[in-house]
Amino acid sequence: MEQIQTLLKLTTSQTAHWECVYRDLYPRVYNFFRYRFGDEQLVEDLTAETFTRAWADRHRHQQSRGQFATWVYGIARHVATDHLRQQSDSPLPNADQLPADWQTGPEATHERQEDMQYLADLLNTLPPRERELIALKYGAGLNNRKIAAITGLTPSNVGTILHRTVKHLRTQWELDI
Amino acid sequence: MKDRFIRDYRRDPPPEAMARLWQKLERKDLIMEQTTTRTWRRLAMTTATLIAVFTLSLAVSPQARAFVGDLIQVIGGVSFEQVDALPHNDSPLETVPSLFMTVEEAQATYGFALPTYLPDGFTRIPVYAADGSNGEVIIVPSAEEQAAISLVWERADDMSYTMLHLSIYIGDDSIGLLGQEVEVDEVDIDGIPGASYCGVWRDGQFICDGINHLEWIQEEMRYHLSSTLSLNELIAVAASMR
Repeated sequence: MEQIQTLLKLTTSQTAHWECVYRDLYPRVYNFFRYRFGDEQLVEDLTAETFTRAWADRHRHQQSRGQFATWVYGIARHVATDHLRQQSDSPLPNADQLPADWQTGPEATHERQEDMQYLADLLNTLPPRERELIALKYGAGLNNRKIAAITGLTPSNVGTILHRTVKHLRTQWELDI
Repeated sequence: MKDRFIRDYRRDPPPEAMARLWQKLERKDLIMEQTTTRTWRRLAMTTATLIAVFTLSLAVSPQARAFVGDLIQVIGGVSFEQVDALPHNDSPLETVPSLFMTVEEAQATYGFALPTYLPDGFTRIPVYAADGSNGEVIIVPSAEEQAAISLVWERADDMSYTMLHLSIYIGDDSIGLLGQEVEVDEVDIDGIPGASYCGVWRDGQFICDGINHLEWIQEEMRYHLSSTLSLNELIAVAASMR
């Protein structure tokens, strides 16, 4: 009985801590998938899948929040790979699939909507590795060192690939703009 | 690096999706807690049942019976002897293979009484032998035409767990072995005498661990209820078996 009650007390006291972790990580993982796949509903589903997989074993990583985050991104990568295996292509959203706040409003919003669609199309042309690095950099907001730890590449390699990829995107972007 | 246009693709996730997933994870946690708690309960149950079955074996063991000396005391019509330690400390207790029956089969064979009252929330659960085999009722027979019978009930919710053991010793000369320090009190069970005490044998030592015991003789059978329920609740259960 003492063990049962101790377990319950520990679990209750840790809930607030894990909620903070969740609130910090969710937007990062969400945007990681957004940069990778774009489709809003798919992004939500894959984010949910990632947290559902990670959450059950999170207590193994309670000593280090950073270690847990790295582990979650690792799971997110696996979830993305699993999804790609199931679907040969991963279309980015069409204009009518973009978030509601981009679809309505004044002309400026319409212009932004077009920009985002164009960027989505550009991201869709990237090779898988480059797109994943962009997703980790801009979606998850990770620095090169963390991306290297997650992907197994060296930090300098990550930096080089990202530099070339961003340069390529910018060139394409400016061609249109 | 001019990458502002790439950063602009980032957006805040829909709050409702974030909240919905958090609720789902919390529910999942709750289920895991309950599962883990149930696992602890099952472990506790198995341990307690093994102790109960060991006690049954002890009651009908020839070694234990030979160990009993002349200092038998009768309290509430029930015979006890208080000893320093159990005989199996020096020589392993001879165990008799257990039998399992349904409640109906056991009652038809031995004719014992069952409670018609239990506190709210109790349900009968299987009784486990040391090898993991189990059944509704466990019978530990003896070469001396004695038998010890055991049934178990449990009451479980999110915050508490209670077991109730009923053991019935068939035969007219069973003797309870208790530790030296135990105080045995005489109690009244709806007009018939009984004996109550607290404690249990574990690893050869009698330890008072908050488990109440109530024993009485009824139609030449020795009945034994044990639980963390209060003595008054045990008496109410016993009274319903009259």
